[in-house]
Amino acid sequence: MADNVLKGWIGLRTRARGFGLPFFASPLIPAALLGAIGGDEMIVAGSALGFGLTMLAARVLRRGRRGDTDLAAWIMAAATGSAAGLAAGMGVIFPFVLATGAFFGTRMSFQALPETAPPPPPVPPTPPGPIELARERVARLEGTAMRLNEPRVLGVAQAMRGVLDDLSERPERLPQARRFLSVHLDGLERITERLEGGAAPPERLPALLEDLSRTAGELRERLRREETEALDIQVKVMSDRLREEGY
Amino acid sequence: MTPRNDRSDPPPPALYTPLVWAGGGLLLTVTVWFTSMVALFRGFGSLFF
Repeated sequence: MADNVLKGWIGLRTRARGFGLPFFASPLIPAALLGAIGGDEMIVAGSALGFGLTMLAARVLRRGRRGDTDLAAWIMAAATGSAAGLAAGMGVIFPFVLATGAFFGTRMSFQALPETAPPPPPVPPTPPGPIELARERVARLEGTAMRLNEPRVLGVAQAMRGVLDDLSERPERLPQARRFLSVHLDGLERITERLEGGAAPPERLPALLEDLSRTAGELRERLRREETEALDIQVKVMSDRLREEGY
Repeated sequence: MTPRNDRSDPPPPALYTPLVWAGGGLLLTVTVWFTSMVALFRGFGSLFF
C-alpha cells in the first residue's frame, strides 16, 4: 500500500520535476528591477545570473537523463553563490556556505526520481569500401583523360568502370578482381601522371592501353561466366533435390 | 539452456524518501529563497541609499 502511494508520488514528482526551482529564485526578478531603478549594477548582475542559472538548472532537470540531477545541483550551487555574492552582498565565505546548501538541497529534492539513459553516441560513418575507393580513382582518371584529351586513356577508364559496375552487383567476386584493379589502376594512374607532367607518349603506349582495355573486358567476361556456371550448378542441385524428394 | 537474465530491476525507493524531499525543499528554502529575499531587500535599499 505504502509502496504504491510512494510510486504514484514519484510519478507525479517526475512529471513536475524542475518546475519548482524558479519559484525559489523568483524574488530575484523584482530584486533585479529594483536594483536597475536604484542604479546598482551588482544587484542586477547577481540577480540575473542567479535567476538565469536557476532556469538552466530547471531545464536540465526536465531533461531527466542520468546524471542530470547532479548537474542541476551544481548549477543551483553556482546560481545561489553568485546571487549571494553579487546581489545579496554577503561577502566571500557565506555565498559558499549557501551554495553548498543549495547543492545538497537540489540533490535531496530530486532523489529517487527515475533518470533515463543518455542517448547512444552517433554511429561514425562507415569508411568507403574498396569498390567505392576504386570508383573515385577511376573518376579522377576520367577527369584527367578529358583534360589531356586522351580518348584511349578514357576508354580504359570506362572499361574499368564497367568492371566496377559488375563488382558492385556481385561484391562477393571482389577478391578475384582485387589484384586486377590494383595493378591496372596503379599503372594507369602513373601513366596519366606522367602524361600530365608533359611526357611525350611512347610508341608502345597505344598497345598497352589496348591491352588494358582488353583485359578489363576479359575480366568482366570471366566474372559473368563464373556467375553463369554457379547458376548452372544451383539449377542442377535443385533439380536433383526435387527428384530425390519425389516431387 | 535457460537464458540468463542480466537485467536487474532497480531497488524500490525507501519509504522515508518523502522526508528526504522535504529536507531538500527546506534546504533550498533557507539557501536560495533566503538569498533571493536578501537580494530583494538590498534592491529596495538601493532606491533610498
